[in-house]
Formats: sequence, structure tokens, C-alpha cells
Amino acid sequence: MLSTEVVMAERARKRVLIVDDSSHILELTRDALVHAGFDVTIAQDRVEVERAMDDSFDLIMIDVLMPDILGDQLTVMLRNRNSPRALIHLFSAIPESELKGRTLDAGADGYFCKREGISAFVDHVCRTLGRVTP
Amino acid sequence: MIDELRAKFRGRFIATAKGRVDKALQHIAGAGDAAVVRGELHSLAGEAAMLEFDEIASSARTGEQAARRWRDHGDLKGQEECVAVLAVLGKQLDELAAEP
Repeated sequence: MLSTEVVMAERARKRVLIVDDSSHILELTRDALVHAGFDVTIAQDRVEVERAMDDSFDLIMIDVLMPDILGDQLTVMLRNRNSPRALIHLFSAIPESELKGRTLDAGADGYFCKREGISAFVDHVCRTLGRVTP
Repeated sequence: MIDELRAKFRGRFIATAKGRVDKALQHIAGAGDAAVVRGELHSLAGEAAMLEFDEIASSARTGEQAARRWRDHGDLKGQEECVAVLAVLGKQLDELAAEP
């Protein structure tokens, strides 16, 4: 059985980029994932995403409805790069059926409905990256 | 963990949410853009949902759907429903602010 220290050390190697136009959502999700032991970067718009992409990530969580670019458009843009392939998941408060459709159309790897809340968000990231929920 | 996060973000959430409600009401009063009203309600719904303020999130989603009908079909009932939902949201936010 893994000790807490080993689990946390494993998580520290997993890098997550969160993209959302809401500073509330960015800070909330960052705090929650850092608490769970992940290495987290946040980006509020396309320019900040461009800057962040100098680094590599294991998972990129992208909001859908943002003022300067839609999350599905950003997904396609990132997928067309030659950078190492990160998992890309969309997350949004739009209805799940619409979110699922946008995820499939954009070629993203998964999605998360914001209506499930921050605890479920942490569980989602842990499951996606093959880690035990704290 | 959720209790700690809610405690940390509650005050800021309430202030921002009230600002979103006021902005939406101003747009409606000034014959403003339904897309702006929808955008404010959508953001509020997402922020409330992530903090697990479920009743506020549910109200905001109802308002967002009404704003979408108003925007897409020029449905003035949708506009009236937005006003009603925004009043409910204002009350819910006041109640949340009054909680210890």
C-alpha cells in the first residue's frame, strides 16, 4: 500500500493547466488541486495559454464559453501543435448533452460538468490522471 | 476541504455575484444586449455550482435559459423571466451573506 507521502510525491509530478475566464474558478480549482498535491498552472485567456504552453502538461482543463475563444476552438488549436500530447478535457456549466457534443466534435478526451462542484472536480482530475482521491 | 474553500471564497463570490446581477438588471432596464445578460448568468451559474451553492446555481441556470430564449427568439417573456430570476438571486445572495 502506498503511503500518503508516496501518493503526494506521485501527484507532484502530474501537471495540470486550467483555462477559464473566471478568476474565481481559476483560483478555486487551483487551490483545490494544489491541496490534492498537483502542480497547477492557470490561464485566463488565449494569450496566457500561449505563454503557458512553453511548458508541458499531463492534463489541460478548458472552460467552454470564454470571451476571446471558445474552449472547443482552443482544443483544436492545441491538438494541431506538435507538442507532446496532453489529455484535454472541456469543463463548463452548459447542459451536459451540449458539453458532450462539443467534446466529441473538438476531439477532446473528456469533459466535466461544473454543476457537479469542486469536490467532484478534484475526483475527476485524480481519476483522469490515475491517482487516488485524497 | 469544501468547507475551507467555501469560507475562503464566499465573500468574494457574493460581491462578484451581486455585481453580475446588477449588471444584468442595468442591461435589461436600458434595453441592453440579451447576450450580456446570458453571459453574466452563465458565469454566475458556473461559479455558484463549483462552490456547491446549489440553489443559487439552479436559479442562475434558469435565468440563463430565459436569456437564451430572449436572445435567440426575441421572446419578451424570456426577458420578464430574467427580471424575476434576478430578483430571486438578489434575495438568495442576501441570505447567503447573512449566514454566519
